[in-house]
Amino acid sequence: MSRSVGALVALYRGLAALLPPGARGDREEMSRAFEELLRERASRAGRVAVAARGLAGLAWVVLMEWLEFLGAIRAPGRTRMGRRGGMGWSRNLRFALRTLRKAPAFSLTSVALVAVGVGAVTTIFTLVDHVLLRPLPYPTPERLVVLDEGAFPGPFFREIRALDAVEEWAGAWTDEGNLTGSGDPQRISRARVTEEFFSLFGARARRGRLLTPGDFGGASAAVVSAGAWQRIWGGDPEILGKAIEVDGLPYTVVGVLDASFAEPEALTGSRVDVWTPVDWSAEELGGHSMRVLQVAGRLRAGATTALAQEQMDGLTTRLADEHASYRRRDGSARTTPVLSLADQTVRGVRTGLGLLMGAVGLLLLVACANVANLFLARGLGRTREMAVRRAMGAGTGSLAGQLMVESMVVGIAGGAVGVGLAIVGIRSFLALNPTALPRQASVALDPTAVGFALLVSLATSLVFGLVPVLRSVKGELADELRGAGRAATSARGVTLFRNALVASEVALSLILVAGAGLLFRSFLTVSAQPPGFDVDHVWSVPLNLGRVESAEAYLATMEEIERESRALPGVREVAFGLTAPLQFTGGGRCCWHTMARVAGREEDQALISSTHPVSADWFTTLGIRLVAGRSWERSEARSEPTPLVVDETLALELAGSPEAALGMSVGVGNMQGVVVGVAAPTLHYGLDQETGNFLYLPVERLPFPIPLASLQVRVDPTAGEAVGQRLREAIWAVEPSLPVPALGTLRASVAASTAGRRFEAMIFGTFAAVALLLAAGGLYGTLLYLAGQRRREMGIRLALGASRGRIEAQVLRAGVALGVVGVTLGLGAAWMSNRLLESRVWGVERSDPVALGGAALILLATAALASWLPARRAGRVDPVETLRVE
Amino acid sequence: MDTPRHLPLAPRDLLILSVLAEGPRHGYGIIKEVERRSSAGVLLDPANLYRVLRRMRDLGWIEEADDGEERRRTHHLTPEGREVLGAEVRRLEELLAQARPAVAGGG
Repeated sequence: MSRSVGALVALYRGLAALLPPGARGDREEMSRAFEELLRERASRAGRVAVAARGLAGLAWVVLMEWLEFLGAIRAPGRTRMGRRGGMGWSRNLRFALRTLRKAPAFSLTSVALVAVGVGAVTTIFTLVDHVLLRPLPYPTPERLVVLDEGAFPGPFFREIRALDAVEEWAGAWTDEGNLTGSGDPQRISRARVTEEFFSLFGARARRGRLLTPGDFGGASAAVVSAGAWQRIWGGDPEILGKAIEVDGLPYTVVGVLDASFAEPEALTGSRVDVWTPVDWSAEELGGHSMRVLQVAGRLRAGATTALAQEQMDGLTTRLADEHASYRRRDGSARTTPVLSLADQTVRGVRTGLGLLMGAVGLLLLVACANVANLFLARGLGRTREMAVRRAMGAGTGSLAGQLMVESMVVGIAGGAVGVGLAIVGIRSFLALNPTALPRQASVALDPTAVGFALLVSLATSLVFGLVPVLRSVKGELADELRGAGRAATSARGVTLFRNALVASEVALSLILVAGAGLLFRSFLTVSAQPPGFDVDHVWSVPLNLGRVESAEAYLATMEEIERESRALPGVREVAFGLTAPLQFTGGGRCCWHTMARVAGREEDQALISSTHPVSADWFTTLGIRLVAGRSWERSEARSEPTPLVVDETLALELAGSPEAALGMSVGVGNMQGVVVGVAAPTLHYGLDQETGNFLYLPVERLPFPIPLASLQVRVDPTAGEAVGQRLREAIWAVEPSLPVPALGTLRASVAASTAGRRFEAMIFGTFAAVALLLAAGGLYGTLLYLAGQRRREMGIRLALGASRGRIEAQVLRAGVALGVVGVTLGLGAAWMSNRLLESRVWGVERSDPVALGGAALILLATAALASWLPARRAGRVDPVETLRVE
Repeated sequence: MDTPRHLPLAPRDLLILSVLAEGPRHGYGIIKEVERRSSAGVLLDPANLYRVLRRMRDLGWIEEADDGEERRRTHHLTPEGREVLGAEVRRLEELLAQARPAVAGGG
């Protein structure tokens, strides 16, 4: 209840902010009175009545005050105001509904236009509100901080507990594991958390209990999240005490988290299935060099992030003196930024959502301009009606009021339809968006969004309603009754205004079209990057072997899977390595970086390289070209020195040319290697990522066990889709408990890696297309009206011998001129606003001539087309007919 | 002051003036008092109330003062306001006196 009251009061305040200067002094008291009236009502129905009356009354007063302020109606010095209360309202409303019903095409078009604008804005606003604006769902969210720059060693976590700016720290080590013992083997997301984790984030148990200090000795208790409880165990009421296995280790379920608990995404990602206590005796948490814990904390009341940062800097400087792992390559201390958890959570999406909000804002403006245009045209058509009604005694105020009620009815109806569109919009956005938003689970249309939509609709109707009202009620009575000829000239000011509206519609649309063009160009540029490996006919299977005992066991399993796969019909080549191409994209790099040292050179000239342990057939299977030399034979894999293949960029850095690099001896870790081949560079980490300095070494030389593996399979072009299923069976024949994810060719990986860009371009494209359509409609309507208004003139000119072509050209020219003005303005605006897109595009300049020029051409062509139809109509005027009207 | 020019008063204005005739009140107090008095529970909405108050202030019928606490302004009737209220009440009484026999059969 208090939430909806809060939202209503916010809405009221927002609306009251629209009052003109003279009435602003009362804003605060009015809003407070409204709030008190709302709060004292005990029943829901009472609150609804107060809210409806209060908001409607306020909207009315805003309108009347503005009309008085602008001088459209005289301020009521006399006290015959009462009539305008309840009675006047319902009468105006009835009258408005009747008038709108009589002009269905006008009404439906206006409502649809408002609905499109409001729907789009509400959709994006809901996303922005839930993802960016709301406080995180944890206790004292404003005091939560997170340590940036990845993960931290176990001993580091114990050190930071001494910092007194932070009252509580929690760490989480999240990875994937294979869950067995509950039906089919499954990949699950598992987080190992420290003692304070659940209390820091205010988590509650739905069943059983959360982790207690006693659980951190043996590390065999597990808590499952509400989602996993339903998905994996079907909401089994007997889950407490159940034995499960994760990566072969036994755990006992002690509790189920409440469904309201949202994972702190900056720490654990958006979905964790099973929570277990960290095992402080684990090898990974023992030393200063293994970084596994993501860390968050709560500031002591009154402490600032800056203070925490200061204390953190002191600590990291001290640690850097003691341990090499806290130093950078140049010997300075690695800093550990302390960031607000809220900022960190949404860091990656803030600009994207902001841009979308800007885009829908433009769209709403275009829709608004269009509706204003429609109303203006209709207002002109009704000057006689208004004049007659005034002559019969209707006051200026009541005429204006009635017109405003009409536009408010349109606004509210449009808003209601818009809310419906927003529901569909939000669902489709979340369903189609290939890159998950943070906090996306909580996104839904709620009272705040509905209130927002209502506010936007009312503000919109004020904007498009006010102009025609001012027009319609100002003119002198006699003028309007005198006849159509005179009305046409007095409408010159309006025509100018309408032209300005249309030109700005064209300009606004151009901004959107150019933005969409830029994003599409960027998407196409990225997609057209040659990846350096074959994308067709190569199936890529990322695997996670779970708990691997030793490097030998890893190799044995993978070699057996390789053998089984190679025996399948249609399979030509099979290779394996740690990671698959495009498995880690968007800046994330996995997993192994080493220094490539050249014998006889200084240590500090060592080159950091991205190290890829692969099997001997890796290059032929993936179709990676060898620039010089060759790959190693399987039989040479264990020979000394270790045969290495470097990519061209590393070869150039090491030796200046691929050929010169051959035979060079290079130290990698504890190994001594010799370069036997130079491979062409590949875009292993994403088509839009800088690449280079790859060092391939035989997977047989992998010094430690690691669960990560990828199988690459080259098939006959004729093999077809059935290969996927056969591959899956082959893998299961070797390792029955291994979950095999969805299988696909590298072509699919390429598409997936660019899906985010494509989606962004498509959303912008959709908005741009709608804006384009609206602008075209506005131009068309304006010219049609213009031509209609000058029918008589054209009739006369035709009768006097002017050619139809000339008349047509005149109208066409008027339309294209508007288009040119709009395009010129729009190009400037687009050039400036494209700067905001710079961080989202790749390989394209913001002044990209194709995007800007293309957008200008599209807008001009649209303007020409939208002008051509009214022009033809103008040319077809029958002179006899038009003259007969008089 | 040209009192008759302002008559008749709208029912809402009459109610507001008569509430203020009993003593100064702030806006919320006026709403509550009007609501209490009217049998049908008439609810003034704040926006319209303040609009009427602004107008009455411009006409010189009421004045406002800070009541110190809560930063809320109270409104009180000026002599002009009292005069308008008196004139309207007299007008209504005369009207009633004329109308009563016709409706109630002489009561």
